[in-house]
Amino acid sequence: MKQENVIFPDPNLSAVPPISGVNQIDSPQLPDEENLPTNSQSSNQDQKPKKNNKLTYVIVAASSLFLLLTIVLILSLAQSPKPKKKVTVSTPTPEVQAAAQSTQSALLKQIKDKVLDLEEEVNDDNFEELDVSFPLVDWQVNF
Amino acid sequence: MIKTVKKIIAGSILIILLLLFYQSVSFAQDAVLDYAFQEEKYREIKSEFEKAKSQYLKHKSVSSEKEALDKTKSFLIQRNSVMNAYFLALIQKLNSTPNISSQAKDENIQKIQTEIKYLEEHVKKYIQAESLSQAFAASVEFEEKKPQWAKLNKETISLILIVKTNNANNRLSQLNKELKPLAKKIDNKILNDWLTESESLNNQIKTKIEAAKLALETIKNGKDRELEENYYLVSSEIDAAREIIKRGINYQKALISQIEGNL
Repeated sequence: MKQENVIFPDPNLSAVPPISGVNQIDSPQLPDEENLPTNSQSSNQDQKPKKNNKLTYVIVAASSLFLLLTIVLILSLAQSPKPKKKVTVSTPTPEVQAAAQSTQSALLKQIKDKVLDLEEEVNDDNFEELDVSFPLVDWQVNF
Repeated sequence: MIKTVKKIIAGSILIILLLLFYQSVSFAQDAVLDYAFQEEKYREIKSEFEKAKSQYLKHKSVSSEKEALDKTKSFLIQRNSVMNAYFLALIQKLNSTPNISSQAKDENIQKIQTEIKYLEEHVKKYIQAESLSQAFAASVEFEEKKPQWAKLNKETISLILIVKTNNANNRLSQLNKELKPLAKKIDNKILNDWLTESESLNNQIKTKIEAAKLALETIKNGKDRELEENYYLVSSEIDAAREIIKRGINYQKALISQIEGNL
Protein backbone atom coordinates (compact mmCIF):
# COMPACT_ATOMS: atom_id res chain seq x y z
CA MET A 1 0.00 0.00 0.00
CA LYS A 2 2.81 2.31 0.84
CA GLN A 3 4.42 1.39 -2.46
CA GLU A 4 1.26 2.39 -4.35
CA ASN A 5 1.29 5.69 -2.52
CA VAL A 6 4.79 6.24 -3.68
CA ILE A 7 3.93 5.67 -7.36
CA PHE A 8 0.53 7.33 -7.61
CA PRO A 9 0.19 9.73 -4.73
CA ASP A 10 -2.27 11.84 -6.65
CA PRO A 11 -5.39 10.16 -7.93
CA ASN A 12 -5.56 12.66 -10.81
CA LEU A 13 -2.26 11.47 -12.17
CA SER A 14 -3.36 7.88 -12.37
CA ALA A 15 -4.78 8.60 -15.86
CA VAL A 16 -1.26 9.05 -17.22
CA PRO A 17 -0.24 5.85 -18.97
CA PRO A 18 2.46 3.90 -17.23
CA ILE A 19 5.95 4.51 -18.40
CA SER A 20 7.82 1.47 -19.45
CA GLY A 21 10.20 0.49 -16.72
CA VAL A 22 8.43 2.53 -14.12
CA ASN A 23 6.45 -0.45 -12.92
CA GLN A 24 9.59 -2.51 -12.84
CA ILE A 25 11.18 -0.13 -10.41
CA ASP A 26 12.38 -2.02 -7.43
CA SER A 27 10.35 -1.39 -4.36
CA PRO A 28 11.89 1.47 -2.48
CA GLN A 29 13.36 0.72 0.90
CA LEU A 30 10.85 1.49 3.57
CA PRO A 31 12.01 4.23 5.87
CA ASP A 32 12.22 3.79 9.55
CA GLU A 33 9.05 4.35 11.51
CA GLU A 34 10.30 7.55 13.17
CA ASN A 35 11.63 8.99 9.87
CA LEU A 36 8.49 8.21 7.99
CA PRO A 37 7.21 11.37 6.40
CA THR A 38 3.71 12.59 6.88
CA ASN A 39 1.18 11.81 4.24
CA SER A 40 1.36 15.21 2.62
CA GLN A 41 5.17 15.30 2.61
CA SER A 42 5.56 11.95 0.96
CA SER A 43 3.03 12.83 -1.74
CA ASN A 44 4.99 16.00 -2.81
CA GLN A 45 8.37 14.32 -2.99
CA ASP A 46 7.26 11.23 -4.87
CA GLN A 47 5.33 13.24 -7.44
CA LYS A 48 8.51 14.87 -8.88
CA PRO A 49 9.89 12.00 -11.07
CA LYS A 50 6.49 11.49 -12.64
CA LYS A 51 6.14 15.20 -13.41
CA ASN A 52 9.61 15.22 -14.92
CA ASN A 53 8.69 12.34 -17.18
CA LYS A 54 5.60 14.11 -18.33
CA LEU A 55 7.57 17.26 -19.01
CA THR A 56 10.07 15.28 -21.06
CA TYR A 57 7.21 13.88 -23.14
CA VAL A 58 5.89 17.34 -23.77
CA ILE A 59 9.33 18.73 -24.74
CA VAL A 60 10.09 15.82 -27.06
CA ALA A 61 6.71 16.09 -28.70
CA ALA A 62 7.02 19.83 -29.13
CA SER A 63 10.55 19.52 -30.56
CA SER A 64 9.48 16.84 -33.01
CA LEU A 65 6.56 18.92 -34.12
CA PHE A 66 8.79 21.95 -34.53
CA LEU A 67 11.33 19.94 -36.50
CA LEU A 68 8.64 18.49 -38.72
CA LEU A 69 7.16 21.91 -39.37
CA THR A 70 10.60 23.28 -40.20
CA ILE A 71 11.27 20.48 -42.70
CA VAL A 72 7.86 21.00 -44.29
CA LEU A 73 8.53 24.71 -44.50
CA ILE A 74 11.98 24.24 -46.09
CA LEU A 75 10.60 21.76 -48.61
CA SER A 76 7.75 24.01 -49.54
CA LEU A 77 10.09 26.97 -49.94
CA ALA A 78 12.47 24.95 -52.08
CA GLN A 79 9.70 23.81 -54.40
CA SER A 80 7.91 27.10 -54.69
CA PRO A 81 8.90 29.16 -57.75
CA LYS A 82 11.30 31.99 -57.04
CA PRO A 83 9.77 35.38 -57.14
CA LYS A 84 10.66 37.12 -60.32
CA LYS A 85 12.94 40.08 -59.95
CA LYS A 86 11.45 43.21 -61.14
CA VAL A 87 13.40 44.40 -64.13
CA THR A 88 13.26 48.06 -64.52
CA VAL A 89 14.44 49.30 -67.84
CA SER A 90 15.51 52.82 -67.60
CA THR A 91 16.52 54.73 -70.66
CA PRO A 92 19.85 56.48 -70.10
CA THR A 93 19.72 60.17 -70.33
CA PRO A 94 21.47 61.84 -73.29
CA GLU A 95 24.15 63.10 -70.89
CA VAL A 96 24.85 59.57 -69.66
CA GLN A 97 24.91 58.27 -73.22
CA ALA A 98 27.30 61.00 -74.28
CA ALA A 99 29.59 60.30 -71.31
CA ALA A 100 29.66 56.57 -72.09
CA GLN A 101 30.41 57.26 -75.73
CA SER A 102 33.18 59.65 -74.83
CA THR A 103 34.75 57.05 -72.49
CA GLN A 104 34.60 54.45 -75.25
CA SER A 105 36.14 56.85 -77.74
CA ALA A 106 38.99 57.61 -75.35
CA LEU A 107 39.56 53.91 -74.78
CA LEU A 108 39.53 53.20 -78.48
CA LYS A 109 42.00 56.01 -79.07
CA GLN A 110 44.39 54.49 -76.52
CA ILE A 111 44.14 51.09 -78.17
CA LYS A 112 44.65 52.61 -81.59
CA ASP A 113 47.83 54.36 -80.44
CA LYS A 114 49.17 51.11 -79.05
CA VAL A 115 48.40 49.28 -82.30
CA LEU A 116 50.20 51.98 -84.29
CA ASP A 117 53.21 51.79 -81.95
CA LEU A 118 53.38 48.05 -82.44
CA GLU A 119 53.07 48.45 -86.19
CA GLU A 120 55.90 50.94 -86.25
CA GLU A 121 58.14 48.63 -84.25
CA VAL A 122 57.40 45.57 -86.35
CA ASN A 123 57.85 47.44 -89.63
CA ASP A 124 61.13 48.96 -88.53
CA ASP A 125 64.02 47.75 -90.68
CA ASN A 126 66.14 47.59 -87.56
CA PHE A 127 63.83 44.99 -86.06
CA GLU A 128 66.24 42.33 -87.28
CA GLU A 129 69.39 44.33 -87.86
CA LEU A 130 69.42 45.75 -84.33
CA ASP A 131 72.05 48.36 -85.38
CA VAL A 132 74.69 45.87 -84.39
CA SER A 133 75.55 43.75 -87.42
CA PHE A 134 78.80 41.84 -87.21
CA PRO A 135 81.81 44.13 -87.86
CA LEU A 136 82.86 44.45 -91.46
CA VAL A 137 86.57 44.52 -90.72
CA ASP A 138 89.44 42.88 -92.56
CA TRP A 139 89.99 39.34 -91.36
CA GLN A 140 93.26 38.84 -93.17
CA VAL A 141 95.87 41.53 -92.73
CA ASN A 142 99.19 40.87 -94.37
CA PHE A 143 101.46 42.23 -97.03
CA MET B 1 70.23 75.74 -38.77
CA ILE B 2 70.77 71.98 -38.42
CA LYS B 3 67.62 71.38 -40.42
CA THR B 4 68.88 73.57 -43.26
CA VAL B 5 72.20 71.71 -43.33
CA LYS B 6 70.34 68.39 -43.43
CA LYS B 7 68.20 69.60 -46.33
CA ILE B 8 71.28 70.73 -48.25
CA ILE B 9 72.99 67.35 -47.71
CA ALA B 10 69.87 65.43 -48.75
CA GLY B 11 69.48 67.60 -51.86
CA SER B 12 73.11 67.11 -52.82
CA ILE B 13 72.85 63.33 -52.46
CA LEU B 14 69.74 63.34 -54.63
CA ILE B 15 71.44 65.39 -57.34
CA ILE B 16 74.50 63.08 -57.31
CA LEU B 17 72.27 60.01 -57.61
CA LEU B 18 70.35 61.56 -60.50
CA LEU B 19 73.60 62.42 -62.28
CA LEU B 20 74.92 58.88 -61.82
CA PHE B 21 71.66 57.45 -63.15
CA TYR B 22 71.69 59.76 -66.16
CA GLN B 23 75.32 58.87 -66.85
CA SER B 24 74.62 55.13 -66.78
CA VAL B 25 71.60 55.52 -69.06
CA SER B 26 73.47 57.66 -71.55
CA PHE B 27 76.39 55.22 -71.46
CA ALA B 28 74.02 52.41 -72.42
CA GLN B 29 72.54 54.47 -75.25
CA ASP B 30 76.01 55.48 -76.44
CA ALA B 31 77.32 51.94 -76.80
CA VAL B 32 75.65 51.44 -80.19
CA LEU B 33 76.63 54.93 -81.33
CA ASP B 34 80.20 54.31 -80.23
CA TYR B 35 80.28 51.12 -82.29
CA ALA B 36 79.25 53.09 -85.38
CA PHE B 37 81.87 55.73 -84.56
CA GLN B 38 84.64 53.14 -84.16
CA GLU B 39 83.72 51.56 -87.51
CA GLU B 40 83.92 54.95 -89.17
CA LYS B 41 87.32 55.61 -87.60
CA TYR B 42 88.46 52.16 -88.74
CA ARG B 43 87.67 53.01 -92.35
CA GLU B 44 89.70 56.23 -92.10
CA ILE B 45 92.70 54.49 -90.58
CA LYS B 46 92.41 51.69 -93.11
CA SER B 47 92.90 54.09 -96.01
CA GLU B 48 96.10 55.43 -94.34
CA PHE B 49 97.23 51.84 -93.80
CA GLU B 50 96.59 50.99 -97.46
CA LYS B 51 98.70 53.98 -98.57
CA ALA B 52 101.59 53.05 -96.29
CA LYS B 53 101.38 49.44 -97.42
CA SER B 54 101.58 50.36 -101.11
CA GLN B 55 104.51 52.76 -100.41
CA TYR B 56 106.37 50.04 -98.58
CA LEU B 57 105.74 47.43 -101.27
CA LYS B 58 106.83 49.93 -103.87
CA HIS B 59 110.04 51.22 -102.24
CA LYS B 60 110.93 48.63 -99.61
CA SER B 61 112.94 51.35 -97.87
CA VAL B 62 113.66 51.55 -94.15
CA SER B 63 111.61 54.68 -93.77
CA SER B 64 108.68 53.24 -95.68
CA GLU B 65 108.91 50.09 -93.58
CA LYS B 66 108.79 52.14 -90.37
CA GLU B 67 105.83 54.07 -91.70
CA ALA B 68 104.15 50.82 -92.74
CA LEU B 69 104.71 49.34 -89.27
CA ASP B 70 103.23 52.38 -87.53
CA LYS B 71 100.18 52.42 -89.80
CA THR B 72 99.72 48.65 -89.54
CA LYS B 73 99.80 48.84 -85.74
CA SER B 74 97.29 51.69 -85.70
CA PHE B 75 95.10 49.79 -88.12
CA LEU B 76 95.16 46.58 -86.06
CA ILE B 77 94.59 48.46 -82.81
CA GLN B 78 91.58 50.15 -84.36
CA ARG B 79 90.25 46.81 -85.59
CA ASN B 80 90.54 45.63 -82.00
CA SER B 81 88.59 48.70 -80.86
CA VAL B 82 85.83 48.01 -83.38
CA MET B 83 85.43 44.49 -82.06
CA ASN B 84 85.45 45.76 -78.47
CA ALA B 85 82.81 48.40 -79.26
CA TYR B 86 80.75 45.75 -81.01
CA PHE B 87 80.71 43.53 -77.93
CA LEU B 88 79.74 46.48 -75.71
CA ALA B 89 76.89 47.29 -78.09
CA LEU B 90 75.71 43.69 -77.91
CA ILE B 91 75.65 43.87 -74.10
CA GLN B 92 73.69 47.09 -74.32
CA LYS B 93 71.18 45.45 -76.68
CA LEU B 94 70.79 42.53 -74.31
CA ASN B 95 70.23 44.87 -71.37
CA SER B 96 67.76 47.07 -73.21
CA THR B 97 65.59 44.25 -74.54
CA PRO B 98 62.79 43.59 -72.06
CA ASN B 99 61.77 40.13 -70.92
CA ILE B 100 64.98 38.23 -71.68
CA SER B 101 65.30 35.57 -69.02
CA SER B 102 68.01 36.50 -66.56
CA GLN B 103 69.70 33.15 -67.04
CA ALA B 104 70.00 33.53 -70.82
CA LYS B 105 71.08 37.14 -70.46
CA ASP B 106 73.74 36.41 -67.84
CA GLU B 107 75.06 33.48 -69.85
CA ASN B 108 75.47 35.64 -72.96
CA ILE B 109 76.92 38.61 -71.16
CA GLN B 110 79.45 36.41 -69.42
CA LYS B 111 80.63 34.98 -72.77
CA ILE B 112 80.90 38.47 -74.24
CA GLN B 113 82.82 39.83 -71.28
CA THR B 114 85.34 37.00 -71.61
CA GLU B 115 85.98 38.16 -75.18
CA ILE B 116 86.27 41.80 -74.11
CA LYS B 117 88.96 40.78 -71.62
CA TYR B 118 90.73 38.87 -74.36
CA LEU B 119 90.73 42.00 -76.56
CA GLU B 120 92.07 44.15 -73.72
CA GLU B 121 95.03 41.79 -73.39
CA HIS B 122 95.43 41.24 -77.09
CA VAL B 123 95.84 44.92 -77.94
CA LYS B 124 99.09 44.95 -75.94
CA LYS B 125 100.66 42.63 -78.52
CA TYR B 126 100.08 45.21 -81.27
CA ILE B 127 101.47 47.99 -79.13
CA GLN B 128 104.58 45.96 -78.32
CA ALA B 129 105.16 44.71 -81.89
CA GLU B 130 108.56 45.84 -83.15
CA SER B 131 108.30 44.47 -86.64
CA LEU B 132 105.70 43.84 -89.29
CA SER B 133 106.04 40.10 -88.83
CA GLN B 134 105.28 40.43 -85.07
CA ALA B 135 102.26 42.58 -85.85
CA PHE B 136 100.99 40.08 -88.41
CA ALA B 137 101.54 37.17 -86.02
CA ALA B 138 99.37 38.93 -83.43
CA SER B 139 96.84 39.69 -86.16
CA VAL B 140 96.52 35.99 -87.00
CA GLU B 141 95.55 35.26 -83.38
CA PHE B 142 92.77 37.81 -83.66
CA GLU B 143 91.63 36.46 -87.03
CA GLU B 144 91.44 32.93 -85.69
CA LYS B 145 88.82 34.08 -83.22
CA LYS B 146 86.41 34.99 -86.01
CA PRO B 147 84.37 31.73 -86.04
CA GLN B 148 83.94 31.87 -82.25
CA TRP B 149 82.87 35.50 -82.34
CA ALA B 150 80.55 34.91 -85.28
CA LYS B 151 78.87 32.17 -83.29
CA LEU B 152 78.54 34.43 -80.26
CA ASN B 153 77.07 37.12 -82.50
CA LYS B 154 74.47 34.73 -83.97
CA GLU B 155 73.56 33.37 -80.55
CA THR B 156 73.04 36.82 -79.07
CA ILE B 157 71.21 38.28 -82.06
CA SER B 158 68.95 35.21 -82.28
CA LEU B 159 68.10 35.45 -78.61
CA ILE B 160 67.25 39.15 -78.89
CA LEU B 161 65.16 38.60 -82.02
CA ILE B 162 63.20 35.75 -80.46
CA VAL B 163 62.44 37.77 -77.33
CA LYS B 164 61.54 40.86 -79.37
CA THR B 165 59.14 38.83 -81.51
CA ASN B 166 57.63 37.20 -78.45
CA ASN B 167 57.15 40.63 -76.88
CA ALA B 168 55.42 41.87 -80.04
CA ASN B 169 53.15 38.82 -80.04
CA ASN B 170 52.22 39.41 -76.41
CA ARG B 171 51.33 43.00 -77.21
CA LEU B 172 49.21 41.86 -80.14
CA SER B 173 47.42 39.41 -77.87
CA GLN B 174 46.87 42.06 -75.21
CA LEU B 175 45.41 44.45 -77.79
CA ASN B 176 43.02 41.73 -78.94
CA LYS B 177 41.82 41.38 -75.34
CA GLU B 178 41.33 45.13 -75.07
CA LEU B 179 39.42 45.28 -78.35
CA LYS B 180 37.17 42.33 -77.58
CA PRO B 181 34.63 44.08 -75.29
CA LEU B 182 34.33 46.98 -77.72
CA ALA B 183 33.81 44.68 -80.70
CA LYS B 184 31.26 42.59 -78.78
CA LYS B 185 29.15 45.67 -78.11
CA ILE B 186 28.65 46.06 -81.81
CA ASP B 187 26.70 43.03 -82.83
CA ASN B 188 28.39 42.50 -86.14
CA LYS B 189 29.45 39.06 -87.36
CA ILE B 190 32.25 40.36 -89.55
CA LEU B 191 33.82 42.27 -86.66
CA ASN B 192 33.72 39.21 -84.46
CA ASP B 193 35.20 37.09 -87.25
CA TRP B 194 38.08 39.53 -87.63
CA LEU B 195 38.68 39.45 -83.92
CA THR B 196 38.66 35.66 -83.88
CA GLU B 197 41.06 35.60 -86.81
CA SER B 198 43.40 38.03 -85.10
CA GLU B 199 43.30 35.92 -81.93
CA SER B 200 44.07 32.73 -83.85
CA LEU B 201 47.18 34.37 -85.31
CA ASN B 202 48.72 34.47 -81.84
CA ASN B 203 49.03 30.71 -81.85
CA GLN B 204 50.59 30.67 -85.30
CA ILE B 205 53.17 33.19 -84.14
CA LYS B 206 53.92 31.12 -81.05
CA THR B 207 54.62 28.10 -83.27
CA LYS B 208 57.10 30.12 -85.32
CA ILE B 209 58.81 31.40 -82.18
CA GLU B 210 59.16 27.86 -80.84
CA ALA B 211 60.75 26.79 -84.13
CA ALA B 212 63.18 29.72 -83.88
CA LYS B 213 64.07 28.67 -80.33
CA LEU B 214 64.91 25.17 -81.55
CA ALA B 215 67.13 26.63 -84.25
CA LEU B 216 68.87 28.76 -81.61
CA GLU B 217 69.70 25.59 -79.68
CA THR B 218 71.31 24.16 -82.79
CA ILE B 219 73.37 27.34 -83.14
CA LYS B 220 74.62 26.89 -79.58
CA ASN B 221 75.33 23.19 -79.82
CA GLY B 222 75.85 22.69 -83.55
CA LYS B 223 78.99 22.73 -85.63
CA ASP B 224 80.56 25.99 -86.76
CA ARG B 225 80.10 25.14 -90.43
CA GLU B 226 76.34 24.81 -89.85
CA LEU B 227 76.16 28.21 -88.19
CA GLU B 228 74.92 30.19 -91.17
CA GLU B 229 72.37 27.53 -92.03
CA ASN B 230 71.02 27.45 -88.47
CA TYR B 231 70.95 31.21 -88.23
CA TYR B 232 69.03 31.28 -91.49
CA LEU B 233 66.43 29.04 -89.85
CA VAL B 234 66.07 31.43 -86.90
CA SER B 235 65.89 34.39 -89.20
CA SER B 236 63.29 32.86 -91.51
CA GLU B 237 61.06 31.77 -88.61
CA ILE B 238 61.28 35.26 -87.11
CA ASP B 239 60.50 36.77 -90.50
CA ALA B 240 57.43 34.56 -90.85
CA ALA B 241 56.30 35.44 -87.31
CA ARG B 242 56.73 39.12 -88.09
CA GLU B 243 54.59 38.82 -91.20
CA ILE B 244 51.82 37.16 -89.17
CA ILE B 245 52.04 39.93 -86.55
CA LYS B 246 51.60 42.45 -89.37
CA ARG B 247 48.47 40.61 -90.49
CA GLY B 248 47.15 40.70 -86.93
CA ILE B 249 47.80 44.42 -86.77
CA ASN B 250 45.89 44.93 -90.02
CA TYR B 251 42.89 43.09 -88.56
CA GLN B 252 43.07 45.25 -85.47
CA LYS B 253 43.27 48.45 -87.49
CA ALA B 254 40.23 47.40 -89.52
CA LEU B 255 38.37 46.55 -86.31
CA ILE B 256 39.19 49.91 -84.77
CA SER B 257 38.04 51.70 -87.88
CA GLN B 258 34.71 49.83 -87.84
CA ILE B 259 34.17 50.42 -84.12
CA GLU B 260 34.93 54.12 -84.59
CA GLY B 261 32.23 54.28 -87.24
CA ASN B 262 29.71 52.68 -84.91
CA LEU B 263 30.36 54.81 -81.85
